[in-house]
Amino acid sequence: MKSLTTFEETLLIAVYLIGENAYSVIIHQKILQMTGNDIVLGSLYNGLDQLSKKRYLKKKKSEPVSEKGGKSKMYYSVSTEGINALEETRRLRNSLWNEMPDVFYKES
Amino acid sequence: MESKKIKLPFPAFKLLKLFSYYNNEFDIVADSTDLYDITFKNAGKLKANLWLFRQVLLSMIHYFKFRIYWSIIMFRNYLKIAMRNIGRNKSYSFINITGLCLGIASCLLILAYVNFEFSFDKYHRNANRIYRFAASGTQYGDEYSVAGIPALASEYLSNNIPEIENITRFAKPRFDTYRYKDRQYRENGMLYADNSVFEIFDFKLIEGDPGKALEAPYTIVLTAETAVKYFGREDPVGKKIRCRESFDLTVTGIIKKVPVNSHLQFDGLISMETVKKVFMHRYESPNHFEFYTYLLMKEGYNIKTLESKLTGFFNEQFGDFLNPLGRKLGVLMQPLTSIHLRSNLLYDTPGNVNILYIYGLLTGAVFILLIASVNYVNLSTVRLSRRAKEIGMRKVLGAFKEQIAVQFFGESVFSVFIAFILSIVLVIIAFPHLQQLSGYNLNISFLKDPMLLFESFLILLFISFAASWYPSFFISGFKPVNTLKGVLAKGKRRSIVRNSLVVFQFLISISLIIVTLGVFNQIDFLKTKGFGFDKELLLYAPVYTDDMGFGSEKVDKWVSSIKGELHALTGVSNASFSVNIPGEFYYTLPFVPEGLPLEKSFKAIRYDVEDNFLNTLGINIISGRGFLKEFKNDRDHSFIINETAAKLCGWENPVGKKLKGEDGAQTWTVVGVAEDFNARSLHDEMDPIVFSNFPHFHYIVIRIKPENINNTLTQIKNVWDRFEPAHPFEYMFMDEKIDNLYNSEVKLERIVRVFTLLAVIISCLGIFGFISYITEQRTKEIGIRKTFGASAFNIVNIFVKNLAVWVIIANILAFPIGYYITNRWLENFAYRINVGWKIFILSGLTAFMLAMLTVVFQTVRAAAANPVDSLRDE
Repeated sequence: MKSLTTFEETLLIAVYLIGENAYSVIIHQKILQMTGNDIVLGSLYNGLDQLSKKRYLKKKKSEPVSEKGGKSKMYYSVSTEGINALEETRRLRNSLWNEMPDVFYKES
Repeated sequence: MESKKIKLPFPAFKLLKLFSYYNNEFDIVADSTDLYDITFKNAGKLKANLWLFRQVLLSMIHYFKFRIYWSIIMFRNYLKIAMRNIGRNKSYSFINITGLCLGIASCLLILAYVNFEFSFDKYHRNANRIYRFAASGTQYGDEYSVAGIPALASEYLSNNIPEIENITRFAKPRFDTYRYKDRQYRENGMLYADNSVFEIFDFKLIEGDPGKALEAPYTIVLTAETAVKYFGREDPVGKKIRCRESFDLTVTGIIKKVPVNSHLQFDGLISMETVKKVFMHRYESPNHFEFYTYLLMKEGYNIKTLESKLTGFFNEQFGDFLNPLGRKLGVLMQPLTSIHLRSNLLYDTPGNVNILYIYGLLTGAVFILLIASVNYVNLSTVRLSRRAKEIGMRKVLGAFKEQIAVQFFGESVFSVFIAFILSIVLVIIAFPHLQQLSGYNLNISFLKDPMLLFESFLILLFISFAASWYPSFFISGFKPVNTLKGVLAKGKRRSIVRNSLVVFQFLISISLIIVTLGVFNQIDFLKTKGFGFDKELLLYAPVYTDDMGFGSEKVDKWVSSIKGELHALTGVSNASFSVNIPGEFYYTLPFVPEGLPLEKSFKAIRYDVEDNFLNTLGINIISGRGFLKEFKNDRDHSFIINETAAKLCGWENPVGKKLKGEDGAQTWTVVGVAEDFNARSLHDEMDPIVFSNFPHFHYIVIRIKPENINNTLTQIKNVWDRFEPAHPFEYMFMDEKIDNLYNSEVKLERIVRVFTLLAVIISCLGIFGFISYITEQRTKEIGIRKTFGASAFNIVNIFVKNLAVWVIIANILAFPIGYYITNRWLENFAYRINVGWKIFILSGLTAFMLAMLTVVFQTVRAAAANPVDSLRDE
């Protein structure tokens, strides 16, 4: 399994943390709150799209909402594969950091 | 969020919708509204707007990056396909591009030449304010216009007409010899000029003072080339040149070589004051219309009012002198820049070109370009049909009709561009040959002519659109279902379009062949027809007896003594003198048969000739007698007239009848009638001619024997040098002179021939490509026919028949067109050939044979192929 990019990781974690009701604007806000990055909507969509294609995210369409002009919202939730991927990434990251000597901390 | 509904600012909303790739699935506009809302509440309006602005900007950047990226990808694909197609169909591409390249190149060459013709005299700073003052008028009912006016006129003009800022005059000296130490040359390129020439025209002095270089009498300004000829490395300024061994000219300046595109060409300028010293009678005479007068107008002039004003002045000044001679005068103001192409007056500056000739060339160029484009359209339409599958595939994969059209349009433009680049290479190679064809020393470079570059750009645009439009739209309209099945809409209409294009090409080619043959035959006819006398072994040279005094004893003595010496030479069979020679223009005078009223007068050319002039030319006296030395009365009282003149007089037996001039001052007796001969050229009918024995001679005419011509010529020259040391012996042969009368026709023929050749080549290339396409399409048919026993001949026959019909149609259409054009041209000649069936048969056959040869050449290969190969894959 390929490890996730940082952006993908962030997205997955954000969706996971929001739990239900995770749709684009909320996700955007969550990421802003977590990382302080005001990401562009386009890249958010792109990321969500990619992750859905990799089956790390599950999509669900809501009923048409009036505030969106009769369009339905797209809700996301993290799939089992997504969770596995997150874990794998974390494991990899930890093992990487474990190799780093302690001196690193002292010198920096 | 629900409580307050905030809308996005209008343009942002629009822009986001326009540029957002994800709008369909994710609805970026709605999301943005929400986010805008949140930011608005948290951070205020300014922050929210800033945020929104950033979003819009980013989405736009992204959008364009995306578009450009994919266009590049597609463009690379298109380019690759285009290159592959050119590479795959090498022979097609070659034919297609060659045809177009030839067309464009010849068009560019012609444009280069035409541009040059139009550039004449435009380089002068004051070009649009300079006019030439020419005289128009009538004399004895003849209308004529003369390029020059009397010298004195301009002195009056500068004093009395306030609109004129400056005036300069030019006049042409005779052929004269000029000598510095032992270097003696004959100069034909000298002009007399006023000093103001340097103020009006942009002829730049390299050395000398432009303010007074030509002020004093006996001064001369030479071009650098001429100066080097005489003085070598010496400094010419201040040196003296001896003119015709009688007076010295001091060199006061050196002038730059006159640009080729100047209608005034000279090797040196002699001050006008010199004319006053040397030829006072020429200068003062109101009868010498030989001073080219150029006026520089003040700003804000009105040429129309000036013209009428000057007409009044002209008649007032010269009326007393001219009216009794039956002359009326008008004024012709010729803008400097129009002289070269639009002026064709009497005694005009040499080298002027008729603008119709230029227009003719341009028409030819356009036709060549048209044929080439038609060719291109035809071939590429045919070629694109083979790519039906590709188009079907593209359409199935989601290409729009417009995209296909754009793709093929671009591909076509690409080929056109290659052809264009090649044609420019061709033009650069062929440029030196243009000089031969045009007769100019064109020292212009193709790349340095901005006008030409602009025009070639226009041609590129025109051809790109004209040649690419039809094929690309034709092809993009295919239905994918059909094309994928490999079935093309082979409608009758399409083949009619293609065939009529073939007809059109051949129509032009055949018409051109007819015209070429017509012109060629006519020139041949002109050269063999002759003038009614033996033009071989006849030479003539100018003589200068007028300088000895008009009709004086001295002339008689000189004439008889040089004639005696010449007759003593073994190589000379006859020698005589005349005021005029055939092929030279000479003015006509009115004559009235005695007893008839003045209105019955007719105009005839008057030849003042020495006794045996008619003998020398070989013109027989039909009745009566020739001039004889013994009859002293002949000089003032006798005429010989030619047959045409006799007919005009209405006399059965003219000998002994009397003729009067229109002024009625003198009565002459007709003593003989001579055979007719052409006095001008075969453009004109036989002219009535009246010969008199008056000693007023401009030419010596010598008939020599065919043996030892070089030796005879040296002997004649030796005799001449003894009798006329001041002037060189400048002989020419009469046959050359007469052939030279048709120089412009010969030049025309050369150009028409080149055009025809190009048109025929391009048309044949077209047929070649066309037929090879058809044979390829019908490979299977050919294979099946062969298996069923058709011979190669049968198969070739099918194609030949198919195309023969169209070429024959083209022939039938071309005959009247070619006939009309050729006949219109032939109307210039009084003596002309008939455009007979021979020309039509010949041109039709030529075109037909060439077309059929092409067809046969191409189909024989297909017909000879083994049917196994073509049917194998079924």
